[in-house]
Amino acid sequence: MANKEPLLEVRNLTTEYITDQGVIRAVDGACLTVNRGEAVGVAGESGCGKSTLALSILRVLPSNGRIVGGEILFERRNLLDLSEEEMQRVRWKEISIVLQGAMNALNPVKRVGEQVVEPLLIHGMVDSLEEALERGKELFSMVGIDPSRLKDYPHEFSGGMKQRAMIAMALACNPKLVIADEPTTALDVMVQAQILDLLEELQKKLALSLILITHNLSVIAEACDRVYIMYAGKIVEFGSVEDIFEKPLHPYTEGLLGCFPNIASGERRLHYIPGVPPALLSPPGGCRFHPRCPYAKEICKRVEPPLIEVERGRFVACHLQGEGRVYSLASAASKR
Amino acid sequence: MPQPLLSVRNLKKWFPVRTGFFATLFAKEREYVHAVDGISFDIMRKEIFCLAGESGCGKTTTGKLVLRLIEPTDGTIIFDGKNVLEMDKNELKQFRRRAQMIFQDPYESLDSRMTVYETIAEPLEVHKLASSREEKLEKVIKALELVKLVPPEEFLFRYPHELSGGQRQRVAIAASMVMEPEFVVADEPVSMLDASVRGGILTDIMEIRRRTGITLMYITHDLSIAYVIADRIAVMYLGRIVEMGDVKQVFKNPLHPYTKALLSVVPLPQPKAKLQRKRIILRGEPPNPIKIPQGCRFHPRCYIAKEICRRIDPELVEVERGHYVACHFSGEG
Repeated sequence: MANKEPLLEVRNLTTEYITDQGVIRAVDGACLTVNRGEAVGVAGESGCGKSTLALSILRVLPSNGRIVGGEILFERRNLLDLSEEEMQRVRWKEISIVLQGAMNALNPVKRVGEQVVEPLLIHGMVDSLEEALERGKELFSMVGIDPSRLKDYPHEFSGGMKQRAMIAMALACNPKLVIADEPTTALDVMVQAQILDLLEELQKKLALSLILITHNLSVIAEACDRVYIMYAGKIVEFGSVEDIFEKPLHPYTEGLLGCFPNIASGERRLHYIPGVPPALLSPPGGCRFHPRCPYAKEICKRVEPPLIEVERGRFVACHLQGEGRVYSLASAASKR
Repeated sequence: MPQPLLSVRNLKKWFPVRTGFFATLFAKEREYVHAVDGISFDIMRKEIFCLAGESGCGKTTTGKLVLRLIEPTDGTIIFDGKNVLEMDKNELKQFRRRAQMIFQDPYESLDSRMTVYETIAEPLEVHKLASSREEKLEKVIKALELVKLVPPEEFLFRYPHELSGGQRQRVAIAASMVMEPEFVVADEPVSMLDASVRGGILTDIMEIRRRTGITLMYITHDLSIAYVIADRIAVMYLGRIVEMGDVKQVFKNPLHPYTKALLSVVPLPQPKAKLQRKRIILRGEPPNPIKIPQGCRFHPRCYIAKEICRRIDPELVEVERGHYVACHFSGEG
């Protein structure tokens, strides 16, 4: 029974943090759609707001964070309208998350198996710990860990195994959507390949939808169908992974792509984007990327560009691009 | 044939495994972590030599060994013709001026209570390399210009928390460069920085090499970075070098099955790549360096392992000009 409705639709989400120095708008009017069975990437560097976006969807922001605008529609229900009790029935059961660095946050004095099946107990999906651990064996098999290791402690697990255990935990209650925040960042390249393959396999087997958050565009190229590029709290471009990588339309996307060498290309280039991402306490006026943009014009300093659909399924927020007038950056780049 | 700046032969570092009191009393024999287990290589002047491998392969330990920040268990280290392990206090002091290290974490490596000026001036003071305050300031400014923290006056009196990650790393590099060393060991200097900032630092490192003729040992787990910065590369696995050679050659024609597997799974910024390349995904993870497998230490995970591999430890041999491999079946698979 094919369901064409998006599973998740984030509309115009704005999330702020209250800090000693003032209010930081970590996510500013973000939108995101995840269709059933899709793997959607959210890419960007430190401070762009991608982790905050993830925490907002599950409403697990730290105490100084608050969602101040927008909607988060999950199967057409606005999660922001739910009470905390109702929200608890969504977490782990409908949407779950593998937090960045979660594998290092395992309780060192509790067996891994017990920690992985905790969501089952919390949600009353099993009657006893024994029953939970039976399900735990299934989960471990599913993620490629020998079920006999349920009784081990975290220090007996390697980095890759710990991450698999965190994925098992995220799958414990059969959610429809899993959010993975930098799932392979601290891992070696071979373990990274194993984990990405695992995620792909699980997606197919369990008809799972995935949001993969990472700064590594090469990982996104490998693992995602569509990608959203974030910069300084805003979504600056999104579309299919093929389109974005072949023909980036936003100068930041183009710049960032250049920073990921292609070892199979024969080209040994070293690109970078001069400057640093802005402090979100006082972002630059106009387009937030303009101070670092090689194509910046006068208007870019004054007016924030809206996110508009320039081709079917392709959205970009840049004054250079307009509806129907797609400006190919490659043709303009004189110094490359 | 010019003499290498650094020559390492059969270098080993074994760390004793710490066990409890009773275990020590009743243990039959000592156990060791074979972090570095017999490696040999030369680094020529002005070269950027990359030591690459996954965590636990011994690359960071090797970096510390060649600078004698830790004492080797065995082997020789010759720097500019002199035996580093037989240097007396004075010779070591001289060595420390000529050979420096840059660490991975720009947030940890700088003292948060020292200004940029104080951090960069400190090595000059310790080694008495400046005869006056003016000379000290001049050298600090030169170092800041070298790492592109300009105008220097703007940075001199800032504290680390007032700098971005990239700027902090540049300060760390400046502090190593202020003594005008000939040799620098850089351990993952950009891995903790944003992708868009990395290229800038790496470009500047390469320009520093061009301007000063410095020799660099670059340690990394990130093969994409190795690809763009290195002249030669040595791939390490479980304390040994398994393949070594010109970086373009090794990437184009990897001969060791481990190198082939690693290169085949490095993600590419190319969406259809997965369908077009043959990826070799090894099972499991590198074993515990306390119990090194018999024969070739890679054989338990090797997809072309044969009987001989289980019994005989292959030597690192030159199979084509400048290209070394430690494998009984190099080039196959």
